[in-house]
Amino acid sequence: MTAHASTSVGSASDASLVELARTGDAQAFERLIDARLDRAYRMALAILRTEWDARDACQEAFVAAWRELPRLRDVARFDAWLDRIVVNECRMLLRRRKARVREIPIEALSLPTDHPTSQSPLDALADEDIVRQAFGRLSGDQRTVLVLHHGESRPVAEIANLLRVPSGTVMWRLFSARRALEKALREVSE
Amino acid sequence: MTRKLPPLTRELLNRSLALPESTVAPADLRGSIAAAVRLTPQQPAPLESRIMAKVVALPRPVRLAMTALLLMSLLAGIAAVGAQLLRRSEPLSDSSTFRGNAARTGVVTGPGPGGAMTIDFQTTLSGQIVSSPAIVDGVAYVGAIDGRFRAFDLRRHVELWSPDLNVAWSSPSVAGELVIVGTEDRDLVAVDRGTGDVAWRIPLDGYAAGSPAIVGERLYVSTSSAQSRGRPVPGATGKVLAIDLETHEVVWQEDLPGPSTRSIAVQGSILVVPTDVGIAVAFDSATARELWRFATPVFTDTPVIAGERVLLAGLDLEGNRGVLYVVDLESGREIWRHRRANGQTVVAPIVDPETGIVYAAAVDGDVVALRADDGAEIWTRRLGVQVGSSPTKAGGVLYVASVGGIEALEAATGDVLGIFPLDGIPFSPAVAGGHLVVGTQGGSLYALTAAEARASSPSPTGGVASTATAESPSSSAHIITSTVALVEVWARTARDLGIEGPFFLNGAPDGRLWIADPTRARFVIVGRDGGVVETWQPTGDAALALVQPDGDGWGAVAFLPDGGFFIADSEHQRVVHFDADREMIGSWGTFGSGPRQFVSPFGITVGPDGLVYVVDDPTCRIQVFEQSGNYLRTLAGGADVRDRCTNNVVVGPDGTVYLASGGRGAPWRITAIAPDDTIVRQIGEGLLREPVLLASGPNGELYATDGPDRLHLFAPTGDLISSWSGRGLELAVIEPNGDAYTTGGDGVIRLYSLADRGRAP
Repeated sequence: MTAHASTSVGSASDASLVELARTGDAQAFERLIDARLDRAYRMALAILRTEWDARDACQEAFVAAWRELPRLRDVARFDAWLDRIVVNECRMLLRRRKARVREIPIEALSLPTDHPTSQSPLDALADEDIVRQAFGRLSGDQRTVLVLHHGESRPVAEIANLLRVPSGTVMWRLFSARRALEKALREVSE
Repeated sequence: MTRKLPPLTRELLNRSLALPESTVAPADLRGSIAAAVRLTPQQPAPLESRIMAKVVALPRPVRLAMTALLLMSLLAGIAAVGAQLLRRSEPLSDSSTFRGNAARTGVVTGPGPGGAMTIDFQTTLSGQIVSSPAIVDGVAYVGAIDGRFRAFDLRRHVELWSPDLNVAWSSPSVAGELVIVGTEDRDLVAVDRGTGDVAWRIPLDGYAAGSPAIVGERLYVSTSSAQSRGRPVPGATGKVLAIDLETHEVVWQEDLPGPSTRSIAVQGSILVVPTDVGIAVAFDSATARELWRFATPVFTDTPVIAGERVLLAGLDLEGNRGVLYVVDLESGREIWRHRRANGQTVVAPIVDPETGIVYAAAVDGDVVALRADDGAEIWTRRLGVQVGSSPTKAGGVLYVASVGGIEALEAATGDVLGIFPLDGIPFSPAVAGGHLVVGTQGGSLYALTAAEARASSPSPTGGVASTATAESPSSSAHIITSTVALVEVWARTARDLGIEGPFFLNGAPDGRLWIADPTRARFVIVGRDGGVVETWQPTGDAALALVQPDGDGWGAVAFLPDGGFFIADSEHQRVVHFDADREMIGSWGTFGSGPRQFVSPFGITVGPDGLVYVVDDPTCRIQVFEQSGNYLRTLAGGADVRDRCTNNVVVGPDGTVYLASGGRGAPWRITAIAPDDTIVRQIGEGLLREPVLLASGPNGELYATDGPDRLHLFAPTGDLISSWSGRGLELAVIEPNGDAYTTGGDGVIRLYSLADRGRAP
């Protein structure tokens, strides 16, 4: 499980860097990037699953953050604001590759109940692999909410704040994403 | 051999989706971003920030002098307009507590604004609004996360007072000359409605997050020992208290089975208290005797009492076990229950005691009317947008606060009468005297009224309140003149049609549907009856490459009147021209960003002018060609469109190009671009949530799919003509007869008849 960083600027020096960057100090912004790029990249990679896409999303997100930074009203919210930009960039990137409507069987699917309770490490890895394959078939919104909740262990309220949707919407998206994942699992295993 | 599927447990999901800390960004990415940053100019700071920075830099005496001058100007303005404003004294009815009354029916007397809503008053507060206002005598009382409790005069459009009481979640209730609200300081505060002064304060040993229920001289409120906001907090406890409004003393209090963060409902001598542990408890209000308990999943939303029945919405955090229960008020015995087919949680419903109809909204946007007697379904309307708080009914209209704004539905039929977009996620609206007052998580407070009432009433003048504006120029009502549910003619899964991977829809002039099957680089051609007419796979030099490296696929086709057509051969970075016999005439395009070059052409349209418009990914560059492939020009649409567009363009009869763009903090809208690359107009801003595909109608009108479940019809002028909700509307192509082929994330292709296309543009 990956821990995620605090959603507020972590120190006074960070806040100073944000203030400096707001006034056009590119060096200050580069120092902010240094501390945050790896985490943003991990999140983008988890959602997008390809290194090139994650790289593109991070590049776009950080440049957008630089461009829009003077409009950020509360420097203490910089990290949450940046996370939102990265997530939106991932979703936009997936959306730009539209026409991605995938055929998912509509018949009701139920998971087997006789799965063994103990498994070898190899089986565990195989299970993870099949889940990742199925994950690649989900929409951008579904991927995003699953990664934030399960990959980054963020609580629903934090995801709601990040995506600017009600908690109920996050819960609904989690539910529907898990359901879509179950169906995709069936597809990739066939 | 088929592999046995693993159970999709939380642990497996966590393991599969987490990336180790050792995963780091490529070494050269930092440098690449730094280089791009140095080439990118920053946006200017908002004007008010720059002004404040200048003001703060001034010497203190100068600042004081400026403040004094501003105050004098303000007072002069108030004096000048006061008399005129006071003449506007038409009576307003009341909504004195959350959901209109202590029984929490969600039904208020008097009319609301109706479907054609407009802003009568709007102001932005410094904190999110996560409660519902009370409205009495034309004054709205509302709290915000910034802790201030405010009163706004809806007739004069002024803020009356705003003491900092550390309020947040509690929706206020009015009792005589006092307005009472719970605070984050674990107390209950009564404020003088005239002055904003605190009249009394009763300490509680928990947070009163719900709305106080007031009946006669008694006030009932429930508490939580932790600020749980509806999520179970381990170890948290709850109480219910009865308080005498005369003596301000606690008459009785009882422990609850868990914390309570929603509102109590009261009718007669029975009060029903919800808890966050999913147990609703009924008490005798006089004796505090417990009458019954009823268990709902996870936690219980605010109860609704109507006649002899109590409606309990069992909210389920996972969103798959949400159930609405109807129980007997006296005994707590279940009478019937309603569960959405998809298990979606239903929020506290409206119950109209006069008609005996229950109106329930589920968080996925389904609104359903049920017979209170037996739960029989009367109608269902799929809004296609998430709903997170309880709706309100006034004057035959349901007002539903959705993620996108306020949706007005005809109570009798469920038809959508109008949508008013808001700049943030709204909480439950309060309706009184023709006004709908609603706060958003963006901190905006709106008072909406009927468009015709606004037009005929005198507008207040003068800047009497610095935070208030009479009209927001960026917001406007999108009034639907005709809304009829889509009529499904047929539905086929893509698999039924022999398509296994991603696909794309194209409508041919003969009414057939050309479904691009990128995985096999072919087209499946379907007739109007849904049957496959033929498949066609170009070969040789004409062979297509439509699958992107990540597995997604395209396959856009633009047809000519003579039967010829162009295909955007995206992964070959070219456009291929075929004649009516499907013989390849030629092609053009190479990889690159110059004229006649493409990165991944994904949208293609032939305009009424006979020119070919090609949209390229990822820059949204639109290149215009003659049919011979001769390059004419490039349209970029301006910085606010570039790199943010959706899939395709529509070309109007006058050569205007329509492109949908938005996201990344920019509003979604359709931009009309003139042939000389100037922006003619913006369409749908505030209405569109995430348009996916545009399509032109047979009469030059413009269709836009919006999110997974909505389709809008605009006149070329930008006026909204109609709006439909239905399943699978992510992609749509419009037939010559006005019907629509559509599809969505479920992989099902449908032919819809748009039975009522509304007013002709």
